[in-house]
Amino acid sequence: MVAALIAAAACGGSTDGETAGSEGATDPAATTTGSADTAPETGDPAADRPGGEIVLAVEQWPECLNPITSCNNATWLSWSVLVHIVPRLMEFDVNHNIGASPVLMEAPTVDNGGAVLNDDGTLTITYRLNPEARWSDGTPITSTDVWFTWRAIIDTEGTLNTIGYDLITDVGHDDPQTAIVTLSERYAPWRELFGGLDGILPAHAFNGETDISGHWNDAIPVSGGPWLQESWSQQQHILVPNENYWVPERIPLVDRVVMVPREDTDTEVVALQTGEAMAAFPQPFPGAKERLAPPLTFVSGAGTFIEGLWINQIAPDRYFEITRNVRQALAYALDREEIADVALGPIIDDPVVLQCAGWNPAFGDWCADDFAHYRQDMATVDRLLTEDGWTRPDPEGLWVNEEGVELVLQWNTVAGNKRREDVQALVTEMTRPFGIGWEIINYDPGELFQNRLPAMNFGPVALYANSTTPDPTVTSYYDIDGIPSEANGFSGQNFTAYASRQASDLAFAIDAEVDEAARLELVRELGTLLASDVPWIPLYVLPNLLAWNPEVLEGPGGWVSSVYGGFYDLYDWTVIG
Amino acid sequence: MAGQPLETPGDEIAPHWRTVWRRFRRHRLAVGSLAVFTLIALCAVLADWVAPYGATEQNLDRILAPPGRDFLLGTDTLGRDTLSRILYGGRISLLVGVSVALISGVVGTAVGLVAGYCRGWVDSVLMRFTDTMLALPSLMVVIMAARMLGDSVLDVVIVLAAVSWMVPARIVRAKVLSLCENQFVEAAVSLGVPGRRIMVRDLLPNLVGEIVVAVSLTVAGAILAESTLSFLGLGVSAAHTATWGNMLGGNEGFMITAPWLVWAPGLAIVATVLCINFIGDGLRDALDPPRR
Repeated sequence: MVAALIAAAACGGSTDGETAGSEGATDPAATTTGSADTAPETGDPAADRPGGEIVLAVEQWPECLNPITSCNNATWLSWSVLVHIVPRLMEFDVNHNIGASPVLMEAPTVDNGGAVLNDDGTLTITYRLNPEARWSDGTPITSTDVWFTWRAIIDTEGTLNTIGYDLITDVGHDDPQTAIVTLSERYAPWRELFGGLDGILPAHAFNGETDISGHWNDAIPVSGGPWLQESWSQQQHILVPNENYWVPERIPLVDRVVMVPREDTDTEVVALQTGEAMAAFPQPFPGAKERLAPPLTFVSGAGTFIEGLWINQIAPDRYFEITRNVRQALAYALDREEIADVALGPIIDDPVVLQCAGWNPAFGDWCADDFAHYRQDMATVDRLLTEDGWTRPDPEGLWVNEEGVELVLQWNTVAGNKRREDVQALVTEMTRPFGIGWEIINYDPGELFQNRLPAMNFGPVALYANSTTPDPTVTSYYDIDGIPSEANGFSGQNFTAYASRQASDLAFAIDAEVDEAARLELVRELGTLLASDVPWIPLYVLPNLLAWNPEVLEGPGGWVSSVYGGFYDLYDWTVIG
Repeated sequence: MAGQPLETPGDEIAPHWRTVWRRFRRHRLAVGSLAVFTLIALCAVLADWVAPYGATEQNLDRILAPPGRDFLLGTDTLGRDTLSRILYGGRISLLVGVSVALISGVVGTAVGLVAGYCRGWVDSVLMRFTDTMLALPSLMVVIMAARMLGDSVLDVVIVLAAVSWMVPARIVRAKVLSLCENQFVEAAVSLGVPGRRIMVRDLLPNLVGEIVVAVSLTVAGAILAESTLSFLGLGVSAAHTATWGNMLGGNEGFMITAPWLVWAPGLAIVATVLCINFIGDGLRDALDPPRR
């Protein structure tokens, strides 16, 4: 699930940073509580449908469709197929808050007794299923489907990810409308089990086989979402409305959606410009504002990828100790708004400056303004460095420590990445008046991420992006025993070598806290600590783009930042004319 | 043979430079190219005085400004003056081109000279190695080597020189084989003059023409190769300094919205490479009239 989300984040999305109109957005949370809200309309949906056909350009066409094998490592499998067909127990709303999907009567919580931490340390979650929920062939969605999905994820050869599911000891399915999931231990992201970007499978469609590796690779014949797959090939993917879908607000308004693959962002945009496609969800690209100008239009929103300066405190090429004062001084020497403008200005109008810690999604309630106080401040830089024993003999020159070493930091990023190299050029000039210099050595992605990063042989400063999840797990980033070293075989992901026992304990506590409110409180506490210790400096949130031709299409834009991709609310889109 | 004067190196066989210059001047395209190239090189060398702005000087309130009075060739994504960066970038591009050409010229000449003079197993070993290097897909080798090394100017020069010395080596060897049939070489050998001295004192002066032509064409090739590498993100890093190649690389997304970011460095590369090629043609014709 996490891998799938990370893959999804590789191209995509969050909502707070939306910068243009977003007509047509529907908050799924508003449709998910109680059977009264989800009762089907008495009329014939097909008769009320305005009709028409939507053609979409799609990047990174998936090789196969199986939702739980490596097929699902492709971001676009989720965005173009699964989110429209595979039902979820819990799902993210447009603001990235996770709640009950239309499959559930209500979201299980600690407060309503749906999530219970037992005395023996086990966790029990009770899902009450919506009796109206049914598959496209008319079969009700029941607790047996939840049980089957668990077994399929465990038993299928080549399952992409079993994290969390391997902690499940049982899925009680005696009552078709109640699934009781028991985990052997606390698992904070339990809401994303059978939900989030995962889903549930129809038990009756697999003839009792729980190893489904041989199924659903080139067709998904049964749907529990608003759409039903009519056909799928390497040339096109056709969706038609699921006539048995039980949520009136999500009954599709058009007769057909045709998705066609396009090789890259450029050809995707050309398809839009020539009228071959009506909408696209391209990766952000320089010149987007001009190329997506009228008659085209686009919206942008904060995505799930964020970039910042990672500070490796044990970098082999450091020339002095990278103390907290040095890290704070660096943060106070940066104009992060200017950096965001330069990095993302060619793409969008209002880049979002990131103000929270590196593992946090820049949306929902997780991201506080922990780093907002870091603004350019010469006096504070002077004070911090002077306290640390640095002097500045030449007021125009660099700071020098007691050994006569200048304050020059080696800085690595991906060679040839224009956005990042522009940031390096900008910051080099930006910090010069503050007496901080740079030694820039860039590497190709393989060298930086596969060789240097895992071996802690980078930096002290590196600029790169990392993905975030709407429901973050954080231990690996701040585990004091997870600093890659020879002693532990360079395992672990604490790439900043942040050796704070307090932060490490907090991270473990966060990942073990099943109560959302209590967890959020711990997250905030850790955020404050990180802003003080500055193991990294947040810069900006990479945007998502959703582009379409408003002369032929109405409705897109509301879910541009969604982890479900910009096409998620296709059911609300209509064809003009 | 008695009474017949011996040919002496640097006399009949070695080119007479005044004659060469006279012949070169007849090649109008080459002369014009030399003038343009000299102008480009001078502007690059004197960029500190000629360029209207510094190479890294940022005008963040003038990002992507089109060509105009303040910025003759517009500005880039950091508001840096494109003209100034072309002038400063020219230093690096020309430095890379000339350095690669000199290194490959020296290495190629040494290999070709030794192989051609020594012959036998030395020639076989050196030429098979040269053939092997020529058989490798140079772009792939350059990309792999660039990834292993770094993105500094020195790294790029080393990488490009490593795949550029073979052609000069082949040319020099062929010429040496021909020269060794001349009487002045035979006489020197029969008089017991050491081989190293024959190579340096007798043969090398007669190779100048071939070497100059090969080196001049290598300059153009190296500039193009540096541009290719930089465009692929493997050349001299834009974070270090501007080169024509890295000015092109990364700006392809601005082909429509800010075309000056692409055509300005592109034109600089094309103009310089064309000039060098025409100069090379002129030199070849001047140094080796029968080829005309």
